[in-house]
Amino acid sequence: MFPLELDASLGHAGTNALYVATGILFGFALEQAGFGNAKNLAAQFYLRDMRVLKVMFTAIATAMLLLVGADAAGLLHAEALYVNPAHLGPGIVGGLIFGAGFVVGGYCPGTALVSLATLKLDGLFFVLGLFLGVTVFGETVAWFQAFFDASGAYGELTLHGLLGVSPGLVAFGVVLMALGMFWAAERVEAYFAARDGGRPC
Amino acid sequence: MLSWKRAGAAAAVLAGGLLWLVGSPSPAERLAAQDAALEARLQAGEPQLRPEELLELAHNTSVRLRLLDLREENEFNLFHILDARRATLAELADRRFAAGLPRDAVVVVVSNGEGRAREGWKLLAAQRVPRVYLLAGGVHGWLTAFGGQGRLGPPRADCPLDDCRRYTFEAALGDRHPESDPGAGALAGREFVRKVKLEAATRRKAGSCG
Repeated sequence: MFPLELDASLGHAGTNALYVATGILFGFALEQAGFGNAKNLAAQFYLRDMRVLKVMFTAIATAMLLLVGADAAGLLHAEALYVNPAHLGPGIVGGLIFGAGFVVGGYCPGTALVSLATLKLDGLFFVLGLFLGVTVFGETVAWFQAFFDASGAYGELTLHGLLGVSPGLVAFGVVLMALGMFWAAERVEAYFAARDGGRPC
Repeated sequence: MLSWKRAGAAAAVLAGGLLWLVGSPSPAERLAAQDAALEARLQAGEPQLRPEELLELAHNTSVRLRLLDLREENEFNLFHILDARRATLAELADRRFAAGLPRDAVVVVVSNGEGRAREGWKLLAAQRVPRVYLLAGGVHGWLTAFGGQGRLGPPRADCPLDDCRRYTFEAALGDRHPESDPGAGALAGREFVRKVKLEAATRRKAGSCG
C-alpha cells in the first residue's frame, strides 16, 4: 500500500540512495526533453518553442492520472500524501522573482543542475546564483517572517476539496485542459514559425 | 492512421473519464479494507490516550489539539471536556471532514466509554489522518481520573465498552463544570505513559519541482 514507509523498509541510507537515484532519473528525463539547454527553455517565454509547457503539463497530467487511479484502485492512501500549504502572498512574490530569474537566466533550479551536469558554463553560474539567493533568503527571512507565514495562508488546499467534486473529475478536467493547451501551443508555434520565416528567435 | 500523439491523448481522456466514473473509495470503503488491521491496533491499545495525557496536551500551547466529542447533543450539553467540539460518526465518514482537519493537529475522539470513539477513530485512521487517538475510558474515564467519580453510577453489564451514559449533573453547563478543566495542576505527582509523539507533529516533508 502506497505511500511506502521507506525508512522502515530500506533504512535511512537506503532511502537516501533511492532519492538520489530518483533525482538522477528525473535529471535524465529533463535532459532528454532538451531542458539542459537554456535556449530551449527561454524560447517558451517568446512563444517560439512550447516544449516546457508540453513536457511539464504532460508530466502533471500523467502523474495525476496515476495517483488518482492508484487511489481509486485502493493501492494508495491519497490522504497520506503531503500537500504544500497555500501561502498566496509569498507564492505570488516568489513566483514573480522566480519567473524573472527564469527569463533572465534561462533556467529554473532543477534544469540549472541538469545543465551543470552536462558541464555547461551558464548552468554553473546559474547554480552559483541559486545558492547565493538561497543564502540571502535564509539570512533575511526573519525580516519578513510575518508576511512569509501568514499572508494568504489557507492551509492545505486541493482542487477537488475546493470545488467539492471527486478527484477523478478534477483529473478528467486537467487532462482536457492539457490537451486544449497543447493544441493551442502548436497553433502558436506554427504562427510564429510562419511569421519568423524560419529565423531563430 | 492514428498518430502516437492522438493515441496518447485518447488514452488520457479515456483514463480520466474512467476515473471520474469510478471515483475514489469512500471513507467507509477504506475502513472496510483496513478494518482488521485497525481493530488489531485498538486491541493492542495503540491509540488510547490516558486522561492525564489529554489534559497535558490541552494545556500545552504549542500543540494544536482537536477534541472531537462523538456523544449525543444532550450529553454534550450536559457536560463536556474543555475545548471539545461535537461531531457525529456521519460527519467523520465524510471525506471533507478529515480533509479539513489540520495536518499538524493532534486529534482525539471521545465518547462515553470507548464504543463510539473506537468507530470514530477507525474512520479517521482509515483516512490516514495523522496523530489520531481516542480517550481511554471516554468521559467516564475522565471523570474517574479528575474528581468526578461522584457523578458516576455503576457500570452496566449490558453496555458494551461502557459506552452508555452513567453520569449525572444538576445542570447542563457544558464545559463550565469544574471537571471539564481540572487544570494542569491536577497532573502533579501523576505518572502516565505518553503516546503522542509531538516531535513528529512538527516534522514536515516539503516538496518542490523544476
